[in-house]
Amino acid sequence: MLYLYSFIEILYVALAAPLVIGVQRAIEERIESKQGPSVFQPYYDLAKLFRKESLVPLVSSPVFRFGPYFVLMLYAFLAMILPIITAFPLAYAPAADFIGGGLFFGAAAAIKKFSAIDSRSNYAHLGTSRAASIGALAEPITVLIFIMLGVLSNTNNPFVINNVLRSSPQWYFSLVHGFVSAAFFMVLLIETGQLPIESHTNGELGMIDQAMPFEYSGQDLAVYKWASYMKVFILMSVFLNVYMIPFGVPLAHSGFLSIIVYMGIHLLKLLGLIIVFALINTTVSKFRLYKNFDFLAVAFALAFLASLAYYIMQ
Amino acid sequence: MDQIFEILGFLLIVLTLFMQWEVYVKSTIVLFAISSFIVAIFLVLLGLRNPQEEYLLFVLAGLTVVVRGITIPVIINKALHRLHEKPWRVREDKPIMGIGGSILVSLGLIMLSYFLYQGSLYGILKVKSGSVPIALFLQASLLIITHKHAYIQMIGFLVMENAVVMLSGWVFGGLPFIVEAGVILDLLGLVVVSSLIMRVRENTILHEGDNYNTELRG
Repeated sequence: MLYLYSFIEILYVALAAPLVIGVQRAIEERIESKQGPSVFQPYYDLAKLFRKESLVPLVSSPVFRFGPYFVLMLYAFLAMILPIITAFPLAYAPAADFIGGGLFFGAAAAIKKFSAIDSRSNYAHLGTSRAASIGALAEPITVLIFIMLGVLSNTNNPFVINNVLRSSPQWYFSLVHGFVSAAFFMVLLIETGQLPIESHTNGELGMIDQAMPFEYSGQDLAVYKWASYMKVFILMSVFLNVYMIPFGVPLAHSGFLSIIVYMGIHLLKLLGLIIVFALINTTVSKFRLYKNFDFLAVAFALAFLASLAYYIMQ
Repeated sequence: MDQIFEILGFLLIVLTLFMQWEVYVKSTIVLFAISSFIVAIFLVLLGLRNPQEEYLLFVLAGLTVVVRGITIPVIINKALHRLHEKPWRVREDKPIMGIGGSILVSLGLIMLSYFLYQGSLYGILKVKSGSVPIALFLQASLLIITHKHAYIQMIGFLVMENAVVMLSGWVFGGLPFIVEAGVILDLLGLVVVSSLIMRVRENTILHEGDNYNTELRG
């Protein structure tokens, strides 16, 4: 049964991820009083790209060609080991704890950077350099956040953390959890490429993640984009299911039907979060590139204050 | 009740970090007003905890809201409007230290205050989170040191005063009402006089185009 749930989970993440992106874009357009694209536009884009021929730079190596497929594979694996539709570990969950999950995210990011560098495009290099600079500072914050949740729950297992937060109001309503959630939200804005860190345009001055797949086209680009959608979906799910709203995620005894019902509830949770993202994206202006590091410093400060609050309130 | 005090104390620390992050003076004034309202909530809660001083602490909370939360921000805002054509664009454009670096130093000061307090006063006072107002005090000092803009320096001083109110009420059980009320009125005087000095300097001493006309130094 656990294998079936894992299969359902991976299918759910792969199929629903483009929808979440589509809904966010549609909401942003509606906020700006525009009609906007259909919520299914990312699916149309993927379908179109899958039908097109892939062009590969002559100077690139197989790293460029196979990079997106490896990245997609890693995110698919992450979808199976993190608490997305269940609050109990599925078949592959023992493969990695929170730190291990972070390692897989890091591996996917590294492969993306290698393949971008391998394209030999100046723009891809520019994006890689920026993404690496920001990522190098965002990763320690993420690790600090995980450590703090580890301190609360005495484990690095995201399923146990979900269980601790949903069952103990003294931790859920504690300063430590508040700071950790705020810091993770800021990291989430960075990792999912939202404003004020990154705008969804191809303006050279602000490009970070948009610049990296500059040389990709056709089927390869479709896979790259799909993997990016899945990354956003997984990170948002972790934020909601583990940190912000750990309630309602089906437990081991809940049964198959409750998991199916929860998928709908999970989409509603995601809808709430993407409305917040859409509001931020339509009201906040983009930081200049070097100001992103101030944003990171504040995120680090919040994560750090979580640890201080823990020791003070102990 | 102690947990609520801790939450309020940490909120003030976060607000001061945001002041360190913020470059626009108008936003810093708003942040200061919010922090003053938090101090007022703290005083109300302190009053509820100490029924024998309830009445005086409620009066003090009211004074804090009126003077620190409303009047002082309004006075600084008005001074800003008088001195600058586009007050919403007035900003700290030459901080002594980069924002990211100053936030990290601020964290270092918070740690320092924690260890200092644990190693000294905690043994006597037995208040677990007594390091929070001390941290706030040091953060406000850093805000003054790292900024050259007169308004932000003034706000740094006012935040220091907020920290002292927190420290006296939370850790030492409160100062006499007359002292606290006197300090609040002193602050009002300080802001009014500073605003006047800045205006007089602008109109009489300095010439248009001087780029140091927003600093407090001679």
